[in-house]
This record gives sequence, structure tokens and C-alpha cells, in this order.
Amino acid sequence: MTQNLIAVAVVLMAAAWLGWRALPSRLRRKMTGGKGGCGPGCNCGS
Amino acid sequence: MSTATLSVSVPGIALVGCPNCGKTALFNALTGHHQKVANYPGVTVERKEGAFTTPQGKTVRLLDLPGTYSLRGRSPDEAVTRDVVLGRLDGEALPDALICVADATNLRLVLRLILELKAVNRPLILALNMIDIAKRQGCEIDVERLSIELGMPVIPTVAVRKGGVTSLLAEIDRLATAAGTGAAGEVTWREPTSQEIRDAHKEAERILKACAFRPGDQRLTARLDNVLLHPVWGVLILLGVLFLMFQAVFTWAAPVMDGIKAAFDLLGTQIQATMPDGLLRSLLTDGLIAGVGSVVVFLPQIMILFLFIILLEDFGYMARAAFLMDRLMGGAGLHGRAFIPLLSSFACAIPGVMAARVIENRRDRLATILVAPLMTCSARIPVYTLIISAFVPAEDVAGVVSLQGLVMFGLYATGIVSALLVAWIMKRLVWRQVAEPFLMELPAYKWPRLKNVALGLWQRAAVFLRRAGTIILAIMVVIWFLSTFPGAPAGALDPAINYSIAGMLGHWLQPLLAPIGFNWQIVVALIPGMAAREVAVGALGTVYALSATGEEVGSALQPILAAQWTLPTALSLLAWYIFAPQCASTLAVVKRETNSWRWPAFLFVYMLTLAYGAAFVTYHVATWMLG
Repeated sequence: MTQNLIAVAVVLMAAAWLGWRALPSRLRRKMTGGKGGCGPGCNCGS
Repeated sequence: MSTATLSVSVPGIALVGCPNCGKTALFNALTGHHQKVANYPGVTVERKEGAFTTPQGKTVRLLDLPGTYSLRGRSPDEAVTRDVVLGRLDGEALPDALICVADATNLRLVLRLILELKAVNRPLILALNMIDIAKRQGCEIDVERLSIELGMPVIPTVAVRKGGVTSLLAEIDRLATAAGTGAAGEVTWREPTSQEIRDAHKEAERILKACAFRPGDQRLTARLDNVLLHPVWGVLILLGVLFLMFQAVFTWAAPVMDGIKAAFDLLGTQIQATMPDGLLRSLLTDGLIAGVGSVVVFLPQIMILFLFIILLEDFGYMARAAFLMDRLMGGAGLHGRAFIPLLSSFACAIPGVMAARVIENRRDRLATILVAPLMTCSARIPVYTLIISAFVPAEDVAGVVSLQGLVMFGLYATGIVSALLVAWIMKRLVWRQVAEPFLMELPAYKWPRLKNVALGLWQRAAVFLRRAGTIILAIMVVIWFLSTFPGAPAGALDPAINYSIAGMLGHWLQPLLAPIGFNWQIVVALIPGMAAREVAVGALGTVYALSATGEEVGSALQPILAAQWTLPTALSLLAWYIFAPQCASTLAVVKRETNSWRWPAFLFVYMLTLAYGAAFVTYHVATWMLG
């Protein structure tokens, strides 16, 4: 049961993080007051 | 010497200079940052900001600007420099002082820029960079005389070794300490007339004659260039270098890859043995280890590829390669300056698209941006190597050439040829115009610096591993979820994934891609692959791990693919990956750089059409040939 709960929590966290990263970087910068970045998949290292 | 001073409140200093003079190296030396430096012009295309504290404890904001030969701002990157220097950039205050960075081996170019910069009426320091190389080449520069002639402090520096940085900091402190005794004047710069440019050129020549002596021949550079820039030998050597690079990617990486694979397998087996059966165990073994592990295993190949690229950049060969490729690229309608953006695209299309800012003409720039994603980026390497390892035998051709390396070389070559063809079609049929001349400064040859090579490699490894540990890991978790739930009904005979959301989605979309030979598992892998190309490999790892039964579980992905796919399907997927617009970030950057949704939409449609067409032809021709 505990194992299953941990697995579900990990899935929810991953989905939330991906959703956050999928937001336009300008919006993310506005919401956090700083960090934006290129978005998911960016390979440029910035 | 100048008596101008820094303003008291916000000390902001901008680094200005011609391309490839070492501005970013000096920026890194002063601020402790690790911005990319390379031995070719056009590496910095937008302003970078950092800060440092002087020996007297004053904090100074430092701006690293793109290289420029004048303040006229002919290309977008040069316009950034002009606007920052003249205080015209929105949200950017006029700098309190300027540090003009000069390549001591090539003073002629920078002297005209300095004469223009004096009209900005800001305190100006000249950092005479690469003074060590100038001395080695026999150049003699009278630093004191140069300072008097130009009316500004001149500090010799060797930015890559932090040489002269102490003197430069002391000079900045001196300006800051004297602040308040005399404010900088109004900006009096304006676009010079032709006569003023000629006058500035004469003045630069006069100062050069008065202050610098350089020997007429630079024997080593000249001798090397005679061979490396030769129209026949030069091109053959370039092809040989590229060929060696791809051979090395396959042959040198194998032992390390085997080690990483074994480590992930061991981890999976340990977890299987110690954890009770359940969702968390499945998530760890089928989702994370199978997914992330199948991507991380390609790290050695990516490192070897970048080792070659960084060594060639540092040596000064890449600018020569641009020169050699100019005729070929010009024939395709691309500007010579497109070489650097296209070369950057081998790492990732995003810096490649951004590097296209160095191209002045808008149509040339657009053509470069639209073909840059066709160059083989590092995210394609895991996909290519997975399929090649599964379907191309690890044999040698003629006893010396690796067949797998040869196929990889062919895939890269196809990407390059496709980019040239698409550019040719766009420039000849859509945007007819006369080709513009290409001027590029050829840097002096230098031995690659171990620190720069190590730093470059470390940065690439860090980017790759950070992606594996963040975006790829998160997507793998979601794919595992979609491939596990809602689970198989009671009495079901097929693997549970067939009844999952991902399985249903794959089966539903598969008819669209069936004509190009893709099965539903590939369809499932391609969907997350839109976010990042290499995710498809991890997704295949997870999908097949969850599809597997009995003794198949835990085995490597290559033999599973070799057993379950036909050769035409594998070739079709390779053809798809050469062209497919599978990278949301690239589309976003194209939108940003073109300031319109029209061009990313066009890019997406034309690449998707090419991908489907190429995969369709490949699949059917291969099926027909194999009977």
C-alpha cells in the first residue's frame, strides 16, 4: 500500500513539473520573478 | 591617459570588440562565469551579464556583448552591441565605462572601432588581449605610445590564463575611485559618412605604424593554410576529419557504454531481487531504469563527438571549414556565415537558430533558421545509435572501417545534403536574390587548451545528464503511468500495456503511421519525443520493458528491437528522424527569432511532410528490395 502511494505521488509530481515546464517561459518568469529557460527539450544548456 | 571616471551609483561596464578577440574569455576571467568561448567569430550573439568585485571592494556589473567591427550595426547581433553601447536598448542603462578588447595579433581592425567608440564619450580602457600570441608571432607593440596615441589606458591581457586581469582591475578601481571628479560627456556618435570612414581608416593606419611592428610572414599559419584551405586537399582533409569523428563515436565509446549498461542492468536486478512486487518496483525498474538508463548509455558517444568539435574549434580549424564550405553553401544559396549556425546545430538546433543572428540579410537569416533543424543534433544520436546497433552488424568494411560508423556518417551526410537542398529550393525558387559576399576573419592556429576542452566537455555532459535527470526522467514517469493503467482485465492474455492508455492511444493512432511501417509501440514513443527527440528511446525502453514477459525482462533494448522490428521499419524510422520536427523548443525559438508564428508553422509542416515522405519511400523501397 505504501509503495503504491509513493508511486502515485511520484507520478503526480512528475506531471505537475512537466506542466509547469510546458508553460511559456515569459509566464514562468513572471510567476517566479526570475527563472525562465527555453522550455522542455531545450538542449542549449542555458 | 584618459581622465574620465566611472559614475558613483551604478558602475556598469560593457566589453566591446571585434569578433573572436577574447571578450567572453575576459568576461569569464573577471566574473568567474563559464560562458562558451571558441576560436571562431560569432560565438556571442546576445548580451550576457555578470558581476565582479574590484580589489577595493567595489561591485561592478559587466556586460559581454557580441563582436562588431563598427557601431553601424549591420546584423542583429551587431545592433545589440550598438544599442547597448549607445544606451538605446530598452531597459539597459548607458554603460558607465567601456572596455574595448583587442586581438593584439590583429590591431588594424580594432583601431577603427576604438576611434568610433571614443565618440561615445564614456571612459574607455583598451585590453590588449592575446598579447602572448602576438609576442610569439614576433609582433612588437609599444603599449605606452599606443596609450598616448589613443588617449586611454592600455592593459595587455591573456584572458584565457587570467593574465593582466589584476592590472585591469586596478585600472577599473582607479576610474571608480576618481568618480565624481568629472562626469562622462554626451554621446556624440552618429553614423559616419564615407569620407569619415576613410579618414578613420587613415588614422588607424597611422597609429598602427607608430605603435606596432609585425613580421611580414607568419610561417606556420601560412604553411598550414596552404594545405588546409587548398580547394582539393582542404576539402579531402575536412571530409577525412568528419569521417574519423564518426568512426571514433562508434569504436571508442563501446567499452564505456557496455559498462554503463551493465551498471543499470545490475541496479535493475538488485531492485527486482530486494523489493516486493508492486507499483513502485515497476516504476523503478520498467519506468526509470529502463527509460532513463537507455538514454544515459549514449553519454560516451556524445562526449566523443564533442571532444572532436571542441578540439577543432580551439585549434582554429572551424573557421577554415567555414571557408571551405562557403562555395558549397553558396551554391545552395546559403550565406557563408551560415556555416557557424549550422555547425552549432550539430549540438542542438536552438543555439544554431540563435547564432543565425550573425547573418545580416533577413532572407539569408530565415533560410539558415529554416534548415538548421535538419542538421543532426545530439538528441538524435541515441535514436540513431540504438537502431544502428540493433540492425547494422558490428563488422568492418575492408578490415578497417566500422560499418556502423559508416551508416552514422551517412545519416549525418543526409542531414547536411537535405539542408543544402532545402536551402537551394527556398533561395532559388521562393526568394530569388543575388548572393552576398562573405567576409570572415581566419583566426590564428592555437593549441587547444586542456582547461577549455575539459570545461566544454563537462558542460555538454552536465546538460545531457541534467536532461536525463529532469525532463527525461519526468516524462518516463508519466509514460510508465500511461503504459501501466488502467491495467489488464481479468483473464487477459496479452501483456498489460496493450490495455493501457498509452497502448490504446498507440493502437488508435497507428493507422496514420502504418503506411510508413511504424507499429503502435513506435507511435507511443514518438508522442513524448515531441518534447525532446531522445525521449523516444527511453519511451521505447519503458514500453518494451512493460510489454516483455518472462526471461525477456531486463534484457537490453537492441535485441528486442532486432527481434520485433523488420529492417524496413528500422530504416523508415531512421529516415523519419532525419527530418521530423520532433522538438517543441526549436519551434519556440524559431518563433522568438522570427517574431512570428508563420515561420515555425512553415518549418513544422515542411519537415513533417519531408519526414513522412522519406519514411514512406524508405519503407516501401526496402520492403520491395528485401522481397
